[in-house]
Amino acid sequence: MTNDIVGTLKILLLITLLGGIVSPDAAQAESNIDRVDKIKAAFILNIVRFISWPDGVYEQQDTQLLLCLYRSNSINNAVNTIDGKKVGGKFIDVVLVESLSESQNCNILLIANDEMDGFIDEVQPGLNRPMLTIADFTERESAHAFHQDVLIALVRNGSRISFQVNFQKSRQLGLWMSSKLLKLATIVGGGS
Amino acid sequence: MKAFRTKTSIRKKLINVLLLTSCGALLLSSLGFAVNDWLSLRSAMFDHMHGQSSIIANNSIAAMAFNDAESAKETLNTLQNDADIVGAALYLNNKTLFAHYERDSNRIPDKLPDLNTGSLNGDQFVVEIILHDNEPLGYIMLISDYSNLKKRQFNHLLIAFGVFSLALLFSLLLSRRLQRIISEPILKLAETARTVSENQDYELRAKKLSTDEIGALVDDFNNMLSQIQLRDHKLLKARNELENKVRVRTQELTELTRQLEHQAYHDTLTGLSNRVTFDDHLQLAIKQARRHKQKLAVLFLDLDRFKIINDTLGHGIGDKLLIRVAKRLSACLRESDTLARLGGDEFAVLLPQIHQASEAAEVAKKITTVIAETIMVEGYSLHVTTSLGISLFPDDGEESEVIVKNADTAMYRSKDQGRNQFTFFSAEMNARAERRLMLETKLRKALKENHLSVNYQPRRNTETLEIISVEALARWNDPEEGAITPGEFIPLAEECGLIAKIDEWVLETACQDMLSGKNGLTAQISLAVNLSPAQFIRKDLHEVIASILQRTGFPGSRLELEITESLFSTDSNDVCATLEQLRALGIELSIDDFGTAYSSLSRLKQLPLNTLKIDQSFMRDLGKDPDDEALVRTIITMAHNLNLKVVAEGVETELQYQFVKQHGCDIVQGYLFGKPVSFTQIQQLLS
Repeated sequence: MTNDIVGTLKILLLITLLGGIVSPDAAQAESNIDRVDKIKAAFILNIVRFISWPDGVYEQQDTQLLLCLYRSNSINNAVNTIDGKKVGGKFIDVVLVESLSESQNCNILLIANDEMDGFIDEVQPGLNRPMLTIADFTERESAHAFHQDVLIALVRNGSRISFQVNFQKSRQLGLWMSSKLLKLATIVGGGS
Repeated sequence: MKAFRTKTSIRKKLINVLLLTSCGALLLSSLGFAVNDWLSLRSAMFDHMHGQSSIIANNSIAAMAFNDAESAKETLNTLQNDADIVGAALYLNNKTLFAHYERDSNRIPDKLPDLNTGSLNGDQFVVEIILHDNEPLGYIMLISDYSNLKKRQFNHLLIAFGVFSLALLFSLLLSRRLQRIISEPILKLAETARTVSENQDYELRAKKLSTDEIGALVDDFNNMLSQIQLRDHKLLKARNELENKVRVRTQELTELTRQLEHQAYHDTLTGLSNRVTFDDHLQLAIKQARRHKQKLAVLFLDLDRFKIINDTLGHGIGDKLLIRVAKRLSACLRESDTLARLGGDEFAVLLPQIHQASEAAEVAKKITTVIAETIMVEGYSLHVTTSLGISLFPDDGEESEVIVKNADTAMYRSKDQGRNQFTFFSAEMNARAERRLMLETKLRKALKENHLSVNYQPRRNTETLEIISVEALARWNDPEEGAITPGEFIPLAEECGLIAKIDEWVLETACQDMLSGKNGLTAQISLAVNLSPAQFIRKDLHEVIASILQRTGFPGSRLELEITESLFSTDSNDVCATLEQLRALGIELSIDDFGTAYSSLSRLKQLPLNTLKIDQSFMRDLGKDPDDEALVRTIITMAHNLNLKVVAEGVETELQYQFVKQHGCDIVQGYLFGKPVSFTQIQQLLS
């Protein structure tokens, strides 16, 4: 199972195909890394659009979606580009959290590949609230064990970026994922 | 079309009309259905395309969002099971093609059309925008052609055609039954009309099967039949009447024919045989008589003075008199005798198979006797006599014409001899008969051309021998025959009905003469004029006389009318009345030729007479025959006793004059005292 997940987590950034999302002029000027980050940010935005959170959990639930960046990371700049975007009538608010304890009000927690270990440590014994955890595994070359508290993992699929969904865990936490999203995703988790 | 209108039966017409109507309705319905179906299918197809585009769009959102063209194509490929969709494409926001599916090639345009729906290369398309979280992700375009639509439409049309055919069949079956609702009453009516026409039975009536217009037509038809029946009855009645009339007319014609046949051989008035029958019988009788060497007699008779009766009393009375005479004649004859009326008052009797002339004489005598008896006709007591002539076969002729002609001649002889008698034919009669016929013609002409004249014979007072009156006497001087005596032409005039005219002419001429006398020579003397007894049958005699007196201005008191004694033999009161009327005009009446006929003295006494004239036959034997002398004496005495003046006429000798003068005769007349002379001579005598 782990090998399957690892096998599918391939990150392939195809600049030409994502031209509709990221301006090609900017792409020429920016480094490849920045452009990949922007694609990831776009991925994150699109994924968020297919997710619904349970009512009565977040104070800001009617107006904001709190996107928390777990500790400082290179992707942060790119993610800031989607700050203030409107999703399902709510505006995305990007904030930086240094520890998991600060993430009580976070709707989304983005964990960079480098911060994965810290997250794992902090999340013990396990996540128990409906917070969408998105981990960036695109920089990993090989298959990597998929942590049970990571709900969505961005992975490289050949030359394309793809994503994996821990559907069972998401259900347990009360998050609703659109079938349209699931249709594109690889379903993992639950040891199955 | 015209053949259909005229030759096709009403049953077929109705079926055809119903079928045509159904067919038309079905066709219109089918057309409507097809159009509606097409539109519905088209609309449904577009709805379906919109629906599919929404589903595909929805299912393609994630693929579009994550730029997963492969996934998007998979989604589009799901449309391959949709027969309507021949192509589908997803376009990005910049309208460039993102992913597509197409059943055949070259259906998908590289660039999105500007319209949301429309036609592209003959295909229909719909375009919808793909939104995700109110953000446009791109566009979806679905393309369809009409092939599937047409296939469905074709199937629908096939079903519609099946339904149409079934409906038409149903209409045919239904119309075959329903048309009877209309055609049945009409056909029944037509059948009744045909039966009526063929059988001429107008008592039939059409059965009324409905109360609609056809029912009204049936009522009208039945009414028409009633009218025809009524007219038929009238015609039948009229025909029967006509046949009856024809029958009656035929009977009448038959009767008329019988009458005409009868008339051809019989006399219409009396029913006796006519001349044709008489001639036939005579010829037959002559043949038989000749064969058996027997005799036969023909009696020819006519009624004396009949023409006067006819002219004065009218033909009606004349005809009735003839009928009565015919009956009396028939009563005198045997079955084997033939009695015929030859015309007018002429009758002929054929006595076949006689042995001697005396047998004919007996029959003739019997006839004269029965005819002379008074005959009453319409209140008139008519006294007629008959004159007969008898001709015998073979003594007087061998041929029928000769025998009849000789009998006729003999009859005239009887008339000449004084009438009321019969005469056998003798050879010398033929000359007399011819003269009589000639004289009758001449007399008519003489009367018309004024060849008659009036002579006057003076009458003198016996004592003084003064002329006290003159007697006007008719004279006829024929240019060829010379003077014809009154004794000859007066009876002839009486026989042929001219006597009345002669009498009137003489009276008028004499009155004019007497008034024209010069120096009043004739002013004091009276005028005596003879009046034929025949005149007394006339009812208007006194008016005729009065008219002449008025015209001429001659006073009635100076006129004396002489009538014959024979007038009084009839016991008619009419004569007496007529005489009284004449007396009322102041006219004196004298009885002429007294003593020649039978006169009842008592009758003489009753009549309003003034004068009595002793017939000249008594004068001739005065001084020779003591009987005549005694008679004259008695007559004069008797006349005076009756207060009558006495005239002795025909006094020719002194002896005769002395005798009558001695015995008191008042007036004398005769050659001794003056012959009848012209008026001029009379004036000379008077002067």
